[in-house]
Amino acid sequence: MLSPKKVKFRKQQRGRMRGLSKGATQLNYGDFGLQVLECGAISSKQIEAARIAMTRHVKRGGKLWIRIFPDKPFTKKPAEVRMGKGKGAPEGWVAIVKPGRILYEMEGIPRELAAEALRLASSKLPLKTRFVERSEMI
Amino acid sequence: MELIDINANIRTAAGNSPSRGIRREGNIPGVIYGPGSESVLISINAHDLELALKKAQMSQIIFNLKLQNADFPARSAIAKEIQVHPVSRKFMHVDFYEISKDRKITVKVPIAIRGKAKGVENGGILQSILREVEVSCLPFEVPDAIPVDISSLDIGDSIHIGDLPKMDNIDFADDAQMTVLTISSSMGDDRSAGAKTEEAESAPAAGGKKGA
Repeated sequence: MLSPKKVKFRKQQRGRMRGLSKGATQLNYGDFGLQVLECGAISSKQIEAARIAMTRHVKRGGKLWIRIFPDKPFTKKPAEVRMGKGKGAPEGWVAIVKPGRILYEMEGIPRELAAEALRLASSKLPLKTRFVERSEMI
Repeated sequence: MELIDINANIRTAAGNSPSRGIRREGNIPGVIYGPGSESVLISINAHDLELALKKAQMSQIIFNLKLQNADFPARSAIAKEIQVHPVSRKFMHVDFYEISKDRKITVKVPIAIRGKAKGVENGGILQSILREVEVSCLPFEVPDAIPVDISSLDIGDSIHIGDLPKMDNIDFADDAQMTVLTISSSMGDDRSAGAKTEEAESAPAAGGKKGA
Protein backbone atom coordinates (compact mmCIF):
# COMPACT_ATOMS: atom_id res chain seq x y z
CA MET A 1 0.00 0.00 0.00
CA LEU A 2 1.09 3.58 -0.62
CA SER A 3 2.45 5.54 2.31
CA PRO A 4 5.11 8.21 2.93
CA LYS A 5 8.63 6.94 3.61
CA LYS A 6 9.31 9.48 6.33
CA VAL A 7 7.20 12.19 7.96
CA LYS A 8 8.12 15.18 10.09
CA PHE A 9 5.17 14.78 12.47
CA ARG A 10 3.32 11.53 13.19
CA LYS A 11 -0.16 12.97 13.80
CA GLN A 12 -2.11 15.66 11.99
CA GLN A 13 -5.30 17.58 12.70
CA ARG A 14 -8.22 16.76 10.45
CA GLY A 15 -8.58 20.12 8.68
CA ARG A 16 -11.39 21.28 6.41
CA MET A 17 -12.25 20.17 2.90
CA ARG A 18 -13.70 23.03 0.90
CA GLY A 19 -13.63 24.18 -2.69
CA LEU A 20 -12.46 22.51 -5.86
CA SER A 21 -9.27 20.72 -6.76
CA LYS A 22 -6.58 23.19 -7.77
CA GLY A 23 -4.54 20.78 -9.86
CA ALA A 24 -4.71 17.36 -11.53
CA THR A 25 -8.10 18.16 -13.06
CA GLN A 26 -7.08 17.23 -16.62
CA LEU A 27 -5.91 13.94 -18.10
CA ASN A 28 -2.15 14.41 -18.31
CA TYR A 29 -0.91 10.87 -18.99
CA GLY A 30 -3.56 8.48 -20.24
CA ASP A 31 -6.58 8.53 -22.52
CA PHE A 32 -9.16 7.57 -19.88
CA GLY A 33 -9.54 8.50 -16.25
CA LEU A 34 -11.63 8.54 -13.12
CA GLN A 35 -12.59 11.96 -11.78
CA VAL A 36 -13.92 12.52 -8.29
CA LEU A 37 -17.01 14.69 -7.83
CA GLU A 38 -17.04 15.30 -4.08
CA CYS A 39 -14.68 16.11 -1.24
CA GLY A 40 -13.36 13.34 0.94
CA ALA A 41 -10.55 11.16 2.17
CA ILE A 42 -9.47 8.03 0.30
CA SER A 43 -7.43 5.58 2.36
CA SER A 44 -4.36 3.78 1.08
CA LYS A 45 -6.32 0.49 1.36
CA GLN A 46 -9.06 1.83 -0.91
CA ILE A 47 -6.50 3.16 -3.43
CA GLU A 48 -4.87 -0.27 -3.52
CA ALA A 49 -8.20 -2.15 -3.75
CA ALA A 50 -9.23 -0.01 -6.72
CA ARG A 51 -5.86 -0.54 -8.40
CA ILE A 52 -6.13 -4.31 -7.99
CA ALA A 53 -9.70 -4.30 -9.37
CA MET A 54 -8.48 -2.47 -12.48
CA THR A 55 -5.37 -4.57 -13.16
CA ARG A 56 -7.36 -7.81 -12.67
CA HIS A 57 -10.05 -6.71 -15.10
CA VAL A 58 -7.60 -5.48 -17.76
CA LYS A 59 -5.51 -8.70 -17.42
CA ARG A 60 -2.85 -7.81 -19.99
CA GLY A 61 -1.66 -4.65 -21.69
CA GLY A 62 -2.43 -1.08 -20.84
CA LYS A 63 -0.79 1.29 -18.45
CA LEU A 64 -2.13 2.74 -15.24
CA TRP A 65 -1.29 5.92 -13.36
CA ILE A 66 -2.35 6.71 -9.79
CA ARG A 67 -2.68 10.48 -9.46
CA ILE A 68 -3.24 10.63 -5.69
CA PHE A 69 -0.96 9.82 -2.78
CA PRO A 70 -2.10 9.15 0.81
CA ASP A 71 0.15 11.54 2.73
CA LYS A 72 -2.14 12.40 5.67
CA PRO A 73 -2.07 10.14 8.75
CA PHE A 74 -5.24 9.30 10.66
CA THR A 75 -5.40 8.02 14.22
CA LYS A 76 -7.68 5.69 16.11
CA LYS A 77 -8.21 4.94 19.77
CA PRO A 78 -8.21 1.26 20.79
CA ALA A 79 -11.54 -0.47 21.43
CA GLU A 80 -13.19 -0.08 24.85
CA VAL A 81 -11.04 2.87 25.87
CA ARG A 82 -12.55 5.87 27.66
CA MET A 83 -12.37 9.29 26.06
CA GLY A 84 -9.46 11.54 26.96
CA LYS A 85 -5.85 10.61 27.73
CA GLY A 86 -4.65 12.14 24.49
CA LYS A 87 -4.91 11.43 20.77
CA GLY A 88 -4.97 7.86 19.53
CA ALA A 89 -2.20 6.01 17.72
CA PRO A 90 -1.56 6.43 13.97
CA GLU A 91 -3.71 3.87 12.16
CA GLY A 92 -3.18 4.54 8.45
CA TRP A 93 -2.89 7.03 5.66
CA VAL A 94 -5.42 8.90 3.55
CA ALA A 95 -5.37 11.14 0.48
CA ILE A 96 -7.59 14.21 0.71
CA VAL A 97 -9.34 14.87 -2.61
CA LYS A 98 -11.57 17.69 -3.78
CA PRO A 99 -14.08 17.75 -6.67
CA GLY A 100 -12.47 17.64 -10.09
CA ARG A 101 -9.40 15.64 -9.11
CA ILE A 102 -8.35 12.84 -11.48
CA LEU A 103 -7.69 9.74 -9.37
CA TYR A 104 -6.52 7.19 -11.96
CA GLU A 105 -5.56 7.33 -15.63
CA MET A 106 -5.33 4.47 -18.12
CA GLU A 107 -3.89 4.09 -21.59
CA GLY A 108 -3.25 1.40 -24.19
CA ILE A 109 -6.61 -0.43 -23.89
CA PRO A 110 -9.98 -0.09 -25.70
CA ARG A 111 -12.50 2.41 -24.35
CA GLU A 112 -15.05 -0.22 -23.21
CA LEU A 113 -12.42 -2.14 -21.26
CA ALA A 114 -11.15 1.04 -19.60
CA ALA A 115 -14.70 2.17 -18.74
CA GLU A 116 -15.52 -1.16 -17.10
CA ALA A 117 -12.18 -1.29 -15.24
CA LEU A 118 -12.71 2.23 -13.89
CA ARG A 119 -16.32 1.39 -12.93
CA LEU A 120 -15.03 -1.54 -10.88
CA ALA A 121 -12.42 0.75 -9.33
CA SER A 122 -15.03 3.35 -8.43
CA SER A 123 -17.01 0.73 -6.52
CA LYS A 124 -14.00 0.38 -4.18
CA LEU A 125 -13.93 4.09 -3.43
CA PRO A 126 -16.02 5.99 -0.86
CA LEU A 127 -16.78 8.97 -3.14
CA LYS A 128 -18.88 9.72 -6.19
CA THR A 129 -16.80 9.58 -9.37
CA ARG A 130 -17.21 9.76 -13.14
CA PHE A 131 -15.43 8.31 -16.16
CA VAL A 132 -13.60 10.88 -18.29
CA GLU A 133 -11.80 10.58 -21.60
CA ARG A 134 -9.34 12.70 -23.49
CA SER A 135 -11.72 13.62 -26.31
CA GLU A 136 -13.93 15.47 -23.76
CA MET A 137 -11.04 17.62 -22.60
CA ILE A 138 -9.88 20.81 -24.33
CA MET B 1 -6.10 26.40 -40.10
CA GLU B 2 -9.77 27.22 -39.72
CA LEU B 3 -10.83 30.88 -39.88
CA ILE B 4 -13.90 31.50 -37.71
CA ASP B 5 -15.79 34.76 -37.15
CA ILE B 6 -16.94 35.37 -33.61
CA ASN B 7 -18.73 38.35 -32.06
CA ALA B 8 -17.29 39.95 -28.95
CA ASN B 9 -18.28 42.83 -26.70
CA ILE B 10 -15.92 45.15 -24.88
CA ARG B 11 -16.43 44.99 -21.13
CA THR B 12 -15.31 47.63 -18.70
CA ALA B 13 -15.86 45.93 -15.35
CA ALA B 14 -13.22 43.46 -14.22
CA GLY B 15 -13.04 41.14 -11.23
CA ASN B 16 -14.94 38.24 -9.74
CA SER B 17 -18.42 39.69 -9.34
CA PRO B 18 -18.81 41.25 -12.83
CA SER B 19 -17.29 38.10 -14.38
CA ARG B 20 -19.83 35.91 -12.58
CA GLY B 21 -22.58 38.17 -13.89
CA ILE B 22 -21.27 37.72 -17.45
CA ARG B 23 -21.24 33.92 -17.01
CA ARG B 24 -24.82 33.96 -15.69
CA GLU B 25 -25.91 35.59 -18.96
CA GLY B 26 -24.38 32.76 -20.99
CA ASN B 27 -21.23 34.65 -21.95
CA ILE B 28 -17.57 34.14 -21.09
CA PRO B 29 -15.23 36.87 -19.89
CA GLY B 30 -12.02 37.09 -21.85
CA VAL B 31 -9.11 39.25 -22.80
CA ILE B 32 -7.32 40.01 -26.05
CA TYR B 33 -3.66 40.98 -26.05
CA GLY B 34 -0.65 40.91 -28.30
CA PRO B 35 2.66 42.59 -29.01
CA GLY B 36 2.30 46.30 -29.76
CA SER B 37 -1.32 46.59 -28.66
CA GLU B 38 -2.95 47.24 -25.34
CA SER B 39 -4.94 44.44 -23.78
CA VAL B 40 -8.72 44.77 -24.05
CA LEU B 41 -11.26 43.09 -21.79
CA ILE B 42 -13.99 41.39 -23.80
CA SER B 43 -16.85 38.96 -23.41
CA ILE B 44 -17.99 36.39 -25.97
CA ASN B 45 -20.94 34.05 -26.23
CA ALA B 46 -20.20 30.65 -24.67
CA HIS B 47 -22.28 28.78 -27.25
CA ASP B 48 -20.43 30.44 -30.16
CA LEU B 49 -17.08 29.34 -28.70
CA GLU B 50 -18.39 25.82 -28.12
CA LEU B 51 -19.50 25.56 -31.76
CA ALA B 52 -16.14 26.89 -32.96
CA LEU B 53 -14.24 24.31 -30.91
CA LYS B 54 -16.38 21.52 -32.38
CA LYS B 55 -15.19 22.47 -35.88
CA ALA B 56 -11.48 22.20 -35.12
CA GLN B 57 -8.94 21.90 -32.32
CA MET B 58 -8.15 25.00 -30.28
CA SER B 59 -4.69 25.45 -31.84
CA GLN B 60 -6.11 25.05 -35.36
CA ILE B 61 -8.49 28.01 -35.22
CA ILE B 62 -7.83 31.64 -36.08
CA PHE B 63 -10.64 33.71 -34.60
CA ASN B 64 -11.77 36.84 -36.39
CA LEU B 65 -13.05 38.80 -33.39
CA LYS B 66 -15.69 41.31 -34.37
CA LEU B 67 -15.82 43.81 -31.54
CA GLN B 68 -19.37 45.15 -31.35
CA ASN B 69 -19.00 48.29 -29.26
CA ALA B 70 -15.51 49.41 -30.29
CA ASP B 71 -14.23 51.97 -32.76
CA PHE B 72 -11.36 49.80 -34.06
CA PRO B 73 -11.86 47.07 -36.69
CA ALA B 74 -11.99 43.33 -36.19
CA ARG B 75 -8.93 41.60 -34.78
CA SER B 76 -7.43 38.25 -35.71
CA ALA B 77 -6.37 36.14 -32.78
CA ILE B 78 -5.70 32.62 -31.60
CA ALA B 79 -7.08 31.21 -28.35
CA LYS B 80 -4.02 31.12 -26.11
CA GLU B 81 -5.71 29.66 -23.05
CA ILE B 82 -9.22 28.52 -22.21
CA GLN B 83 -10.01 28.00 -18.54
CA VAL B 84 -12.58 25.27 -17.91
CA HIS B 85 -14.46 24.52 -14.67
CA PRO B 86 -13.06 21.20 -13.39
CA VAL B 87 -16.45 19.69 -12.52
CA SER B 88 -19.10 21.30 -14.73
CA ARG B 89 -16.64 21.65 -17.67
CA LYS B 90 -18.11 25.03 -18.55
CA PHE B 91 -15.84 27.68 -20.01
CA MET B 92 -14.68 30.16 -17.37
CA HIS B 93 -12.35 32.51 -19.23
CA VAL B 94 -10.59 32.78 -22.55
CA ASP B 95 -7.32 34.46 -23.52
CA PHE B 96 -6.95 35.60 -27.13
CA TYR B 97 -3.53 36.36 -28.55
CA GLU B 98 -3.55 38.83 -31.41
CA ILE B 99 -1.66 37.72 -34.52
CA SER B 100 -0.39 39.31 -37.68
CA LYS B 101 0.27 37.56 -41.00
CA ASP B 102 4.02 38.24 -41.00
CA ARG B 103 4.84 37.49 -37.36
CA LYS B 104 5.69 33.98 -36.21
CA ILE B 105 3.64 32.44 -33.43
CA THR B 106 4.25 29.47 -31.18
CA VAL B 107 1.39 26.97 -31.05
CA LYS B 108 0.87 23.37 -30.02
CA VAL B 109 0.25 20.95 -32.87
CA PRO B 110 -1.03 17.40 -32.33
CA ILE B 111 1.05 14.38 -33.28
CA ALA B 112 -0.55 11.98 -35.77
CA ILE B 113 0.68 8.42 -35.29
CA ARG B 114 0.90 6.37 -38.49
CA GLY B 115 1.15 2.59 -38.69
CA LYS B 116 1.32 -0.13 -36.03
CA ALA B 117 4.57 -0.60 -34.16
CA LYS B 118 6.42 -3.92 -34.33
CA GLY B 119 6.79 -3.76 -30.53
CA VAL B 120 3.01 -3.46 -30.02
CA GLU B 121 2.47 -6.67 -32.03
CA ASN B 122 5.05 -8.35 -29.75
CA GLY B 123 3.07 -7.43 -26.62
CA GLY B 124 4.41 -3.97 -25.80
CA ILE B 125 2.27 -0.88 -25.45
CA LEU B 126 2.56 2.44 -27.18
CA GLN B 127 3.04 5.18 -24.65
CA SER B 128 2.54 8.75 -25.85
CA ILE B 129 4.56 11.11 -23.71
CA LEU B 130 3.90 14.23 -25.77
CA ARG B 131 0.58 14.36 -27.58
CA GLU B 132 1.29 17.83 -28.91
CA VAL B 133 4.53 19.56 -29.84
CA GLU B 134 5.20 23.28 -29.82
CA VAL B 135 5.99 24.69 -33.23
CA SER B 136 7.01 28.16 -34.27
CA CYS B 137 5.68 29.33 -37.65
CA LEU B 138 3.57 31.92 -39.42
CA PRO B 139 -0.13 31.84 -38.42
CA PHE B 140 -1.46 30.58 -41.75
CA GLU B 141 1.25 27.91 -42.09
CA VAL B 142 0.41 25.98 -38.92
CA PRO B 143 0.19 22.29 -39.88
CA ASP B 144 -2.89 20.26 -38.94
CA ALA B 145 -0.70 17.55 -37.40
CA ILE B 146 2.86 16.27 -37.30
CA PRO B 147 2.89 12.76 -38.86
CA VAL B 148 5.03 10.14 -37.10
CA ASP B 149 5.59 6.68 -38.60
CA ILE B 150 6.03 4.11 -35.82
CA SER B 151 5.88 0.86 -37.83
CA SER B 152 9.61 0.14 -37.35
CA LEU B 153 9.64 0.64 -33.55
CA ASP B 154 10.27 -2.33 -31.26
CA ILE B 155 9.88 -2.64 -27.45
CA GLY B 156 12.18 -0.12 -25.78
CA ASP B 157 12.46 2.15 -28.83
CA SER B 158 11.38 5.78 -28.67
CA ILE B 159 11.00 8.82 -30.88
CA HIS B 160 12.35 12.21 -29.82
CA ILE B 161 11.60 15.73 -31.05
CA GLY B 162 14.81 15.61 -33.10
CA ASP B 163 13.52 12.53 -34.99
CA LEU B 164 10.31 14.24 -36.17
CA PRO B 165 10.05 14.96 -39.91
CA LYS B 166 11.36 18.37 -40.89
CA MET B 167 8.78 20.70 -42.47
CA ASP B 168 9.29 23.89 -44.47
CA ASN B 169 9.17 27.16 -42.46
CA ILE B 170 8.30 25.29 -39.27
CA ASP B 171 10.64 25.09 -36.28
CA PHE B 172 10.14 22.90 -33.25
CA ALA B 173 10.23 25.02 -30.10
CA ASP B 174 10.80 22.08 -27.72
CA ASP B 175 14.17 20.56 -26.87
CA ALA B 176 15.34 18.03 -29.52
CA GLN B 177 16.09 15.47 -26.76
CA MET B 178 12.51 15.37 -25.44
CA THR B 179 10.75 12.03 -25.88
CA VAL B 180 7.57 12.07 -27.95
CA LEU B 181 6.54 8.44 -27.65
CA THR B 182 7.98 5.14 -26.56
CA ILE B 183 7.10 1.45 -26.84
CA SER B 184 7.21 0.02 -23.34
CA SER B 185 6.53 -3.45 -22.00
CA SER B 186 2.95 -3.98 -20.78
CA MET B 187 1.50 -3.43 -17.29
CA GLY B 188 2.94 -5.96 -14.82
CA ASP B 189 0.74 -8.79 -13.55
CA ASP B 190 -1.01 -8.53 -10.21
CA ARG B 191 1.37 -10.86 -8.38
CA SER B 192 4.41 -8.68 -8.86
CA ALA B 193 2.39 -5.63 -7.79
CA GLY B 194 1.19 -7.52 -4.72
CA ALA B 195 4.75 -8.32 -3.72
CA LYS B 196 5.62 -4.63 -3.97
CA THR B 197 2.60 -3.84 -1.80
CA GLU B 198 3.74 -6.14 0.98
CA GLU B 199 7.13 -4.46 1.01
CA ALA B 200 5.53 -1.05 1.26
CA GLU B 201 3.16 -2.19 4.02
CA SER B 202 5.97 -2.45 6.56
CA ALA B 203 7.03 1.15 5.81
CA PRO B 204 4.28 3.16 7.60
CA ALA B 205 4.82 1.46 10.95
CA ALA B 206 8.58 2.05 10.70
CA GLY B 207 8.00 5.68 9.61
CA GLY B 208 5.64 6.24 12.53
CA LYS B 209 8.15 5.01 15.09
CA LYS B 210 10.87 7.22 13.65
CA GLY B 211 8.73 10.31 14.09
CA ALA B 212 7.93 9.52 17.75
